[in-house]
Amino acid sequence: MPRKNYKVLVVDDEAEFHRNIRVGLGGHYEFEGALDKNQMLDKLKASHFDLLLLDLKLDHTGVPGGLDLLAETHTRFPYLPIVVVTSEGEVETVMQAMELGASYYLQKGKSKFELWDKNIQSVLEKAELKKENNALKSQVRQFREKEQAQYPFIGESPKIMEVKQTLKIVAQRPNVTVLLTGETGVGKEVAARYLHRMGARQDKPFVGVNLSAIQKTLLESTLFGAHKGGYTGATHDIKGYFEQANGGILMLDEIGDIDANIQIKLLRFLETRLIRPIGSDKDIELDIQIVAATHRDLPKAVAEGAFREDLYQRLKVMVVDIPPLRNRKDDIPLIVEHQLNREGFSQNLITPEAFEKLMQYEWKGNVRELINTVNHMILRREILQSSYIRPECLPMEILQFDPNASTSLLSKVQENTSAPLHHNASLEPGNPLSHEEAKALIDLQAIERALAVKNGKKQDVAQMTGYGTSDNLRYKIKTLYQQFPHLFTDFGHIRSSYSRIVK
Amino acid sequence: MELLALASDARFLNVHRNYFERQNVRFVTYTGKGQLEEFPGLMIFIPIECQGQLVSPVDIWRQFLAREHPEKRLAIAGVEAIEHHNYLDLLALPRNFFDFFDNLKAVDAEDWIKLDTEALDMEEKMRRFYEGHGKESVTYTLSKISLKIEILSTRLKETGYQQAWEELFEPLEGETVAYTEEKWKELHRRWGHYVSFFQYLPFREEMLEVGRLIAYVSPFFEHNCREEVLFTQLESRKNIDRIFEILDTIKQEYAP
Repeated sequence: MPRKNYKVLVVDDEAEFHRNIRVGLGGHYEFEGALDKNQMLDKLKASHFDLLLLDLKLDHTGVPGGLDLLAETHTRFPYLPIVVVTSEGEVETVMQAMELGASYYLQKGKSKFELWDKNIQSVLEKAELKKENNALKSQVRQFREKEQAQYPFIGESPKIMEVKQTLKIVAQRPNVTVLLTGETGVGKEVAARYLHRMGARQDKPFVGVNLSAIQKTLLESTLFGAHKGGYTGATHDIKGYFEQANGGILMLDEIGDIDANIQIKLLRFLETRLIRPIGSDKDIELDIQIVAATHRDLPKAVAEGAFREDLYQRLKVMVVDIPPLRNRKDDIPLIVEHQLNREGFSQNLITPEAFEKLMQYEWKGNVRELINTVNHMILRREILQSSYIRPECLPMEILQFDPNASTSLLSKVQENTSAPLHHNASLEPGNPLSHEEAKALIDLQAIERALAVKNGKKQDVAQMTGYGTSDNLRYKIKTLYQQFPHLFTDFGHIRSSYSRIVK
Repeated sequence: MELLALASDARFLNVHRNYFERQNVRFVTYTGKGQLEEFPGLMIFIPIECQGQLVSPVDIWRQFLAREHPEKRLAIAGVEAIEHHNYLDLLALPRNFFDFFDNLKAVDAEDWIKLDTEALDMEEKMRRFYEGHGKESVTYTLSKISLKIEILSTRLKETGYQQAWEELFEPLEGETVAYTEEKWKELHRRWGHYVSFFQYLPFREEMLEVGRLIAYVSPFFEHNCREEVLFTQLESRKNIDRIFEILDTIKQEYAP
């Protein structure tokens, strides 16, 4: 492999040494020379060098000027590798030079010249490695900052402050298993990442896994890894999430959804800190802090026999309950402001009326729902070409939410969406809706109401519902009908206004 | 009993021959440290006179014996009025020499007192040899020559002698003297100045070897390294390495 042509600055007050170096090593490097300190500093300031070859006896007045110059140069150019050249070879001088920042030393006459090239090359490679390492560290730092911006734990209400305080204390105990509980969307992952940022494992990985999102048949190999041939289809070694998280935090979200087999393996890990990949005959010891999370009622699941009690006991060493947004409404303005800022707006964009609606709403989808709503409002404002986010920019279910009514149709939909979901469900009593169905139902209800309010004027309806044009609105209804024809039964206005689509 | 004797002036011995004969002590002149094996000790007659200077090699010898032959005795004899546990005043000789010899302090004794003499300590002389009086020390000059020769050897793997010579030895623009030739002359000069002092030191033989090697390779350097045949036949690189190695070893031990 051809070597990189490194640029080296040679500093020696004798022209003869420059000639020696150019002749002896010339083919492999691009050399520039300096005869004294000033020339050296000028050249270092003017262009980039990969290495400095510095004669320690630069000043032949008897004063060890080279050492002083070495220290000064290292301070000013800390990332520049410096190789000092000595002739005396006193151990003390060499050690002093190394302490002052030299990466290596070469001795005229004593170090075999054949090795100079090798030694210089080795210093350069180490410096490159260091540079790459620094770049990687910087990338990790940037990633962490980005991650922090992406998963900020926003809230100053007393309830959330208490949670933060608890997490800070737990963060000082990096081996304690933590169980985060709370409704869907309250920010359990955000809380887990906050714990990671605050604790001793902050420079190690944070691996978050949603257990309910992984196919049951693949869960074991995904978590614990597998050796090639460990099971049918394992064509290569798989490093599981546990190994990936080694040293750091593994967040197991939806822990209440795992089956008995995985429960046993997780219990074994919590007791022994050992895992065994599928197809392996050896255990692997890991150092991981487990943060489990669930929106389910685990004690109830234990009572029903769906969750192992011993595992629950292991998990509940430190339980942190994240309160629902409706119980900490003081945080709504902060979350809204944060999300608006993130999208490049200020909180003044929202009219007091629209804000009031946000404050009144029950937020069963919690923070996640609030953030999605803010994004929705920003989009609607653009579509409506409004200067401000007014109440009509709000989703229909929030706009029409009655804080005094015990239950609304929409809240029933919300309840359904937070219950266990199944695809291809119908509206038959007892058959819960899928996420997609619930979403479609909300859209249809908004369109139905707008048709009633706007007396069937499709252009106005399109504006009011945020679809912009009647064509967009028609396309939306057509798509929804193709996907969910069974949902259209109760929407008379839609059926009559779009009778060619809804048959 | 036979003892090794180190003196610059044989008259010291002649004057006291009768005394030592009566005491049944015979002296053998020191010619190399290999002799030490055969004798129970060494007597240094101070001061040593060399190139018109009075010098004392006692401390260097003491260091050497303590390290290499701690069982050997070191006696110092002279006519100065010196108070020292191992000093034999030749103007006040003891009735029984063995009373003196048997009570000599061991060379590795922690309470060995440095001999206080008006002669210049040879350690200082060695330091001057190695450090030089101004710009360059002997080893520094030698290191430059050695580096040049090493690079020449490296270049010869890739190119012919003539080209390598032009690259490395041809005087640079504006230079009136050939660099390496000049450095060699400087080394030679300094060697000539110090060589006579080395005969009184424990590393006398090594220094003699350095002298022989310098003389051997000189023809090559005196012609500014121009002759390839001299470079090869005189094994210049190997011999320069050897000179550097000897001088550097001695420096580390006696003039650190």
